[in-house]
Amino acid sequence: MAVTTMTDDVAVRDVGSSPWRRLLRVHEFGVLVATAVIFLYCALFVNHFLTSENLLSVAQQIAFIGIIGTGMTLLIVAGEIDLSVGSQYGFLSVVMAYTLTEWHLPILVASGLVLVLGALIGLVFGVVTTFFKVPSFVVTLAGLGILRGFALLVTGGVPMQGSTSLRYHSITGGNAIGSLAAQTVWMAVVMLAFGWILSRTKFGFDIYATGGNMKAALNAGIRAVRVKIICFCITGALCGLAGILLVGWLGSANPLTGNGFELSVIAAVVVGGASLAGGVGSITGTLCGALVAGLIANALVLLGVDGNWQQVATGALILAAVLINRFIATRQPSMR
Amino acid sequence: MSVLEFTDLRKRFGGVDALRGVSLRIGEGEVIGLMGDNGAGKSTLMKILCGAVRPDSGTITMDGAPLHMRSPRDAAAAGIAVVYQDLALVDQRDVATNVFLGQEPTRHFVVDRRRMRREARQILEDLSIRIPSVRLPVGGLSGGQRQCIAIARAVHQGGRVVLLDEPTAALGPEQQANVLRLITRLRDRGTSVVVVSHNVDHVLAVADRVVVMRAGQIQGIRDVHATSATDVVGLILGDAASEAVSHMTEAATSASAVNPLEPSRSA
Repeated sequence: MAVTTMTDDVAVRDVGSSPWRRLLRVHEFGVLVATAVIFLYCALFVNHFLTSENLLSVAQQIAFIGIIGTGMTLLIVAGEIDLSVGSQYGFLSVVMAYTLTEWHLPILVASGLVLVLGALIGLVFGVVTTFFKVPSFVVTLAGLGILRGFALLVTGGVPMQGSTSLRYHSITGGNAIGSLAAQTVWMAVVMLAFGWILSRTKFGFDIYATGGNMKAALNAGIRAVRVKIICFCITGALCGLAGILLVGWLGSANPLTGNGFELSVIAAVVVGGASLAGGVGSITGTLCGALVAGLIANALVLLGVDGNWQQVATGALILAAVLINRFIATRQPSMR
Repeated sequence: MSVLEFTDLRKRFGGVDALRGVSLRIGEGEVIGLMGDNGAGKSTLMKILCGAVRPDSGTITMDGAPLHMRSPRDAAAAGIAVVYQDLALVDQRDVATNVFLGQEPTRHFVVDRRRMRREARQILEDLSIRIPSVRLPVGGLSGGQRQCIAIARAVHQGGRVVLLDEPTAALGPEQQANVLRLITRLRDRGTSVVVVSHNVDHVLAVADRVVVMRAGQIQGIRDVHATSATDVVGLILGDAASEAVSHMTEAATSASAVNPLEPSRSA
């Protein structure tokens, strides 16, 4: 067994390489560059772009994508997906308005109810997915139809009046400081909290392990099934939060709220570097993904481009981001 | 002093006797090479030892105390760790995270990543496993390095008896040597190892004793210093060769029988 191996000469380099090289290696690299490039381009060539009013309005526009995208990020990292977030968002908005106007519940009680209901919807999806081994793609596709149907049934298909409470409105839809929208603050709180949970805590590490290799996670004693179910519950609860914010902001709930919204959310997560195969992704990436989409839409409006081009631009963006991520992934240092 | 001992283990699957009374004592710091043809009962024995399958009868004792395992979790708690090829690591995560997978050190709910990296490096160094950086995702490492990391985790997480299933399969010669050296290092540290392998040379290189199974029973146990590859291969094949010959002569003498080596006429 007198074999000298090449690996014996390898120096230990745990301290990590230079910040630049480390940056090149992160999965969010593509979206970070895209965000920077688009931002610079807009700042230089698009009139009225670089005003605080405009930038804050972009931040407001991506708030709901950011909040629900946070839950979606956890789910996608855990190796699952929820196609029903748009319907959940719509259904829970309607429930919020209904409990306020028909049951006359206090706003806080109604909000609690909506959050719990959202988590319960997630629980059902999670249990069906993990115990009956039905792919979450299918389970939540069914949920997409069912929940949209319920939203329309509850309201009779027409928008429903919510609350007229001024305090509720100012907390959910007013301005926090100057023209910084309350929704932006809510998004920031949600993303900071779950960003920290995902990247720093034991539970976050368990999510990555579960999505990366479920069998390895189970062998290592991680309760992977429970991890997945909790991620579904968090996503449901965040859809509820988005619904609460929307009803407070608009004062009413439309049963068609969030129609097709799941695509924007999944786009933000995927553009942000997450892998649909699981185990890869981050809240920072999702924020950038949402930001890129928001910036492009904003720039196109400011440039007076036909609104239909927005769809084209968003689609092209998803493709470009995924290709860049693929390129980065193949260049990962192997150091054998 | 034996660490793990099992007596008269039996297991039936449907009508098949997978194990027909298997007994063995594994000493502290002893490396057992478990060999045998496919279907000899090796996998069943390993699955019983790691808690994945419950035997129909027979006893298992650890340090002299009886052990009743309902799940792999119980086995792990008792100090029996199993390393499955490619079922152990999360490719996207770095080396340190994989060494501590499921048991990350935390401080106030937060994973102490600095401590984790430091200790992971220490663990790897104690076992002389060469990895350039504990920050690298394991997906980019070689098969041998991955195998070593999986074994390091098993040892670190309290494995006193480590079960290795084909640890050198699908590895290059250099990496095979690395894994084999790691096994001898485990023995030097007092860890007992059971290596299931089809490779006689590898088993003879690292094992103290070779246990050969055949048809659900232990066919023979050999001290590696008092045996040869030919001897072990002979045990694995059993009387297969002579049996085949006798079967042929039987067939030839029996008038109505069809020669097993000839294609059947009805087919």
